[in-house]
Amino acid sequence: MFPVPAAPGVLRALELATAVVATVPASLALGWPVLTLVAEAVGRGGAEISLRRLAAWLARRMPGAVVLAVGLAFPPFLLGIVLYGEAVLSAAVQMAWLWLAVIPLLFLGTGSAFWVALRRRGAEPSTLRPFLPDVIESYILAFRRRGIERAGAALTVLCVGSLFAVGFVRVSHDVLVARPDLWGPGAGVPDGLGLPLRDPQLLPQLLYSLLGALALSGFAVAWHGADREAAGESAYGRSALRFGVLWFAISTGLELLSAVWLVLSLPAPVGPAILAGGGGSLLWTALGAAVAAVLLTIVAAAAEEPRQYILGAAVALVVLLVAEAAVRQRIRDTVLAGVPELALHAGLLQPGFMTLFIAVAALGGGIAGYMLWATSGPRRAF
Amino acid sequence: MIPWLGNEFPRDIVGYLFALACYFTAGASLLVVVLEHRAQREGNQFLLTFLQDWSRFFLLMATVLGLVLAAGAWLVAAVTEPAVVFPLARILFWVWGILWVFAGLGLSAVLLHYSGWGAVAPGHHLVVGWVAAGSAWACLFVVNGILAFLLDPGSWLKTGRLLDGFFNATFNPSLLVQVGLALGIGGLFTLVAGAESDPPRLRSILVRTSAWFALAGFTLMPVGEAWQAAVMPPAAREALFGGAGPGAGVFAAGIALAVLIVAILATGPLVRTAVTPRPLALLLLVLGLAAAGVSGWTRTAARAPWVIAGYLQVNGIGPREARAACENGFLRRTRYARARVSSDPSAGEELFRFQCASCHTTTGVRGLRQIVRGWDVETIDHQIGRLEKLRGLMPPFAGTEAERRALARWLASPPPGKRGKG
Repeated sequence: MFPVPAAPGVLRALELATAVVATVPASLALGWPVLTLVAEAVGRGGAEISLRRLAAWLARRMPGAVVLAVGLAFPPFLLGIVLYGEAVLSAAVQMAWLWLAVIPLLFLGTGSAFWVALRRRGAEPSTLRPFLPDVIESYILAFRRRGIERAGAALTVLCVGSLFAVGFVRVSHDVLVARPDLWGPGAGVPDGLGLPLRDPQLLPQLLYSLLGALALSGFAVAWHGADREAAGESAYGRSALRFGVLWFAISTGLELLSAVWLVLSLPAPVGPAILAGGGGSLLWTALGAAVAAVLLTIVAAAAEEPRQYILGAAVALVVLLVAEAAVRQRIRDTVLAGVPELALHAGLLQPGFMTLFIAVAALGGGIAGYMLWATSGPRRAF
Repeated sequence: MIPWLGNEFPRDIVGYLFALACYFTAGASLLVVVLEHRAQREGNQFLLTFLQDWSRFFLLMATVLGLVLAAGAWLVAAVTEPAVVFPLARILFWVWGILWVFAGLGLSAVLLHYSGWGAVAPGHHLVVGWVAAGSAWACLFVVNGILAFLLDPGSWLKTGRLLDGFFNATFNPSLLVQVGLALGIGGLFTLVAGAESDPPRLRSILVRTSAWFALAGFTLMPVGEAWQAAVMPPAAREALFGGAGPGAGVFAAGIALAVLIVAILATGPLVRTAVTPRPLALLLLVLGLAAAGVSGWTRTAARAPWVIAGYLQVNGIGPREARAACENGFLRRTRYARARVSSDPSAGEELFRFQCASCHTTTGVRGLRQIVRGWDVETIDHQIGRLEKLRGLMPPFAGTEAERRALARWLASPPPGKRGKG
């Protein structure tokens, strides 16, 4: 039996918190490229020039979202191994080929996001030249247009496709973890392609995640629009605000429907157990927060001072994300309750370097705050 | 198990590339801020323009390569050696957390530094650059502690206090190796970029500074390697230099590569800064990358067959489990084994899967059936019984005599596709 780095309650709380934090950039990384393509397509007709500007704004922020998504995915992944090691790792081994495919997919997703953002006007000599063939180097660096243009759109499609495939692997893994019959001792020798394609949770879970990503991305655009409007750019700000609210409201509405489908698809003993164990109040909280967030953003789209409503909706969204993560954790705990090897033995507690971690995290937070302050203000993204 | 390639090869490739990204990020980030400081002080616009452009490459290396490979290293390890990843995640949990904080801070600083050129006040911009460099070096410091702990966990085995195993005798020499490689790799990459830059005054600054970085790095690296070899536990030294393995030769090759790089730098770029051809800089870079690869190989070889020396072997079996398996059988203790007794037809294959597949394939890279081709069951059985004495790199077989014989029979039998063909 291996040592445990902290009390089980602390580890569970950390997993919940880090899962909530990781959801935001992961959603933006998946949703922003989609919104970029739509904004560019709608704006290209000429009727909505503001949307082309929005597309360019989104394109330049895609790399940051992807980097944050990959970086912030690590803590919940590590905590998942510590808390549910046998389940998480055995499920990964069952689908090893798809799991490994995430690496090239991440290269494609991150690379194409940077590619779109770093294309710029003016073919000046570049230090990249010694390391890349001329044609690739000049393509990356030679042009930056006002919109993302056709080549940028193709790269954005590549980015969306890659990140969606990563999302598919991740959701499949989550579903597989909750199926000990497919990865446990009786499951046989893994062939690396063990996807839970027939599991009734897979489709609603996929749909739920995708719609959630679009909703959060739409909300972030609405926030940006409200911010720009307050800064005096009323035409662009209002256009971005409405675009964002539209995506947020429709995606959230559909997401609620997929959530119902997801709850109904849970295995027979799990659904009632969740509802009986306090999960019901969490689900109602999530529903209330989602409805409040949608209503507040709709009001914001019509209001003269939209920022306060957007801020209120953000608070409701945080409540929604925490409730969602708590329900997910309860479902997993209920499903895996029968696997004795997953029990954490508090007697083996060895919190080596926990105090140092807290100190380093506090210091890091302070330095990050300074950097944001020092570099805030008008600044080009890339 | 990954067919033909096996589990170890993909792990090594991803690990090597990730290590290169780390070395580059640490070394080049320091070079960037040192040069930026100089450019601001002298008002050197050419140098500032070069650095702005160079930081784009730096950004791509740190994010697209470094970050994705960091994720990739975990993803590969999770499916190729799950029995090792689980204990490493638990034992070093807070250390991974500290590493993650520094990495996150560094990546944020790199993004802000790149996007802040010409837009953020020069003083603040330089500080953000220093944060990027400081974070990269802090990551290297923590990674070095992990590597030192794995090689020699010291009294942690008894006390369970991580601090007892972290700063052991190999920590400082290993740190010297890491610092050397970071300075060296960072310097050589920048040398390639600056070798043909214009105007000549800019080229001279870039070539001289990057060459000094690389020279310092590849001077420190062999010193650290030799020091580390002198203070590492006797078992590790035996694993690296003893027996008929290539360890001693590879170790010497690493030292020779470093000496060669230093000699070329001292007679070329450092004395003729204006005429350093890019092919020469590229050659130096290739030599430097090879030296980094050799250094990583020797460190792994010195640890073999352990992941955490004295605690956990590469196949995920610890000494206590090995003893119990020898007394009561391995298969009956292994939850995921299809066979529970040695007389089961699939017992040999299952024993291979759990005890050998972390490093071997059947007929591909390090293919065991190829190695034992032509041997009879008796010979194979005899060799399996003394694995740890063969080259010092392999864990001993953990199981009963009947299980050992089942594995020998399976290895001596033809692969499934060739059965029945005589």
